[in-house]
Amino acid sequence: MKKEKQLEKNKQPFKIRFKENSSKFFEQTKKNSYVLKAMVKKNFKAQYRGSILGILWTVLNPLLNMIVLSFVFSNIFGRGIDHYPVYILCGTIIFNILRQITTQSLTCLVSNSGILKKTKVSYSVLPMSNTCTALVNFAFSFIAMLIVMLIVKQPFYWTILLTIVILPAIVMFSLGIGYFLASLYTFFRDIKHIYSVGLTLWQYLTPIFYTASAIGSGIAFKIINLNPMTVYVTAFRDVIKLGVVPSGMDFLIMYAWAFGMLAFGYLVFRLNRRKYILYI
Amino acid sequence: MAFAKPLNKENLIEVDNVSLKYHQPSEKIGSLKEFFVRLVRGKLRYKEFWVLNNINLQVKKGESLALIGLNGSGKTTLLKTIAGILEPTKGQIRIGGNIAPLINLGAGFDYESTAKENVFLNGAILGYSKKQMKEKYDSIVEFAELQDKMNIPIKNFSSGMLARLGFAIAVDVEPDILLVDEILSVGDVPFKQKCMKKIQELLSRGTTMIFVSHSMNQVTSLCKKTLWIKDNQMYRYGDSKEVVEEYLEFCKNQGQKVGN
Repeated sequence: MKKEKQLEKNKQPFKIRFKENSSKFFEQTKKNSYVLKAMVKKNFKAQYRGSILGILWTVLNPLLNMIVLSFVFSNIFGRGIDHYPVYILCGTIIFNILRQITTQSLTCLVSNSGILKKTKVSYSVLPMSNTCTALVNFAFSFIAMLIVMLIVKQPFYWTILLTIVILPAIVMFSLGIGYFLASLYTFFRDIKHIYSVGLTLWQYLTPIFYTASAIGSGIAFKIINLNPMTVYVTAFRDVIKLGVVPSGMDFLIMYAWAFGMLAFGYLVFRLNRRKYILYI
Repeated sequence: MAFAKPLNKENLIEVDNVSLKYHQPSEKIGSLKEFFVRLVRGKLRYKEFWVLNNINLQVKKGESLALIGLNGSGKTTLLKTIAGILEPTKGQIRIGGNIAPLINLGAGFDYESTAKENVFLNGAILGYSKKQMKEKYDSIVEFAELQDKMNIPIKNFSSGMLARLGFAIAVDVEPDILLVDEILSVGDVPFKQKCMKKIQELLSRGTTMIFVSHSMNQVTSLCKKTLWIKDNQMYRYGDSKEVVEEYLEFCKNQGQKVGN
């Protein structure tokens, strides 16, 4: 059957085939973008539905969290770190991108089974819509961070603009994991519980509340250094807090992880795409 | 999955030797541990069954086709395969137009959102931009007769109201191909009649339709051709009146009760 299809296709001159395929792709992408927009809007509204302060919570939430964290941790790890609240905030908002994209993508196929079973919607749009939601949330958290920076009199550096270069890497990395987990979760529902524990461990193995150098040079130090989130958090902190441009090697590592994880996750997601409908 | 264009220009839908195999584990394996235990023991068995077996169909532009058959014979599965929701295991489907699947009204409704938000969400799922939906919005509301209820979250809607909204959105997008799956069984009598009228109007304007129903009256009044699917295979295909007559006879013999 496949051979016949191939033969049929080969009869058409390449130019026409290409034109047809690319216009189909374009049309599909356009349609997907409508769904993407609608889903992001839905996700975002669902987040703060029924609350009085509504969208204000997106800024308030990281702000309050930061106050709690810096209150709890400033006497334990905070000694010797300047502008400790900013230090924590840099770490948490970067880690929250990963948390939001991955935990929401994990269940996205199952929780949207109503749509997937009855209409023709591209599966890959769902993790992407979670990514966009996480990005919008990041933008608000970023504003909260700027407010804190003003309050604690943290100096501003031009390198803050480099956030735009670092952000895509973190997002791609998280989306890759999101695709992988979404695929796995449709077959094995245990993953949700395993991952929530794993994510907590991951968070503590990332220097968010403490500095990597405070750990010493044991096995924990090695793990922390191998952890890709360490690279992302450190780079983000460099550009925000220290005004240092991350080295070329840092960028290389960040983007190697990003492309590698996205390629791996998307491949797994794509290869299993025919099976999802039977399991959700 | 993107569909290929039909080979014959007169046809809008070509279903070519389509078979669909369900490959489901005979017992539900829901956890990793169970999966590995079974894998090691070599007990990972799957039950295979063909939910569609060698279906061949050609539907011309403007034609309307009814699918009839007992429950579980594969009507909805065929409809979902044509809509592109399921992918055939063997064979090929070629489609030459845009499809509005009315397989389950309001698929993708978000029950926490208002009716108005859901119009746009559903429109996006059907492939329409916000701008396009804005143009259609008034006529959708008018058709659904829900003018004063558009700002209520639809979790407070009755099933009849949901059906109205879903139908209004799906029909208003003026599709080339309409796939209808037993949706006319909900809603009150006046609305049902309104839906029938709307479908007839679409048909007269050249829309192609595939219609699944257990109401033989609707089948004979809306469709010229009928396909009877029995045990996941094509059993009879031909003029609606003849096929329906034979089907009713068969049902009588089976002692089954058929509506109308």
